[in-house]
Amino acid sequence: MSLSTFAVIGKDNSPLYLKEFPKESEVSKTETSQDTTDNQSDPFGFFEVKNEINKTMSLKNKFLIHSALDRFEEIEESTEKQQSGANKMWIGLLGSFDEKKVYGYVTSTRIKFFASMDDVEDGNEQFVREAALKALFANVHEFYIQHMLNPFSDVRNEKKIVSERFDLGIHDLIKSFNENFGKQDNMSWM
Amino acid sequence: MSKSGSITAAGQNLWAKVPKANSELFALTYGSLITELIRDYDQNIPEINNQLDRIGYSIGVRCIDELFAKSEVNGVQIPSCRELRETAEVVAKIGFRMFLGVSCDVGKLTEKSFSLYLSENPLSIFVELPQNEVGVDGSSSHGPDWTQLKYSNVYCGVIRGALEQVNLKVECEFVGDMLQGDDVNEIKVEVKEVIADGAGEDYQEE
Repeated sequence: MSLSTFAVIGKDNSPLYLKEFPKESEVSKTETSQDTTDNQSDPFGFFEVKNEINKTMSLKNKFLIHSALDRFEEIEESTEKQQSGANKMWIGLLGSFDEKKVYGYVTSTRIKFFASMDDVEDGNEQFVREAALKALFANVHEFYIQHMLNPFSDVRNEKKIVSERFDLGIHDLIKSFNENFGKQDNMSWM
Repeated sequence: MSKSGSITAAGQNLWAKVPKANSELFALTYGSLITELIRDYDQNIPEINNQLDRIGYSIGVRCIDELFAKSEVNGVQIPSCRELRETAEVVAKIGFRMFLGVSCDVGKLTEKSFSLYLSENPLSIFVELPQNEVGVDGSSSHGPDWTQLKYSNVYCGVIRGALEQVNLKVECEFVGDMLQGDDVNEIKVEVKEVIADGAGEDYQEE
């Protein structure tokens, strides 16, 4: 039920920012060589990965993003839905791959955000999540704009985003999203 | 003190009457100036700081006339300064307020120096300084040393230029920079000498 992968793709489909948020159970399978001694006590089931910008994403997740991108291009060509305001940028469910659902969002300058989430059975839960995800994407868009306005950021050549401010911001956003919509059985509501 | 109260009020009055510009446009223009300077001077950071100071100087010599002219026209009284404290207050409360719209505090006042504290800097609202690049073998950095960059050094030049036109030769330096991680932007202004009035050597009568 948590958001496990997040990607920002540029307008010519170059990867600008790739980040994964592995859960506790997946830690042993990921490539991280982190010290796993204290993740047993992590109450939210969300392992505190050492925050490195653009640490190489696992191949499996990269494949996920590629598939989502293909599906996104299909949707883009076929539909001409012109909704207004914030809904215009929201693409919605791109597809289900391997028990994960991928959602997309595209800005007016064709910068795409993809987020992959674990599947959830309850239909109602899904709508609530999607609404929260829309808000999340809007916030990510804000961070992206902030990054663009920084005179020192290199946005001309579609280089990777190395701004720490952006990275920390996204990390916190997704972390709080996961805490609100993460595993229900381990939640301790404040 | 009523004196400093009236200075603050004067500053706010003037700010209300001057034409305004879009702050984002201003910040972005300054940002592109900085990146252009970085390209032109081959990422030589100390040289860039000097250039910013010189640019500020040119702006400052013009700003001071603007300040006095606008205040005359709008009927705002700027008291003549008899001591450094009053000069500092005018610079902080009227000068900065009128041109940038931000209020600035004066501190560390001694006979020959004072510090200006800026809690918000309209030039750097979007800026995040890049990290220093570390060499592949972990040795000293290859790229420019960003910790040396005084992003808003133009302010130092402006203060220097403006005060020189009223016969106060000062040296200004940025000692605290919020972009570099300090709590507040601090500009230290030190008076070197009070220039004597009068025409230059060429015009002295025999």
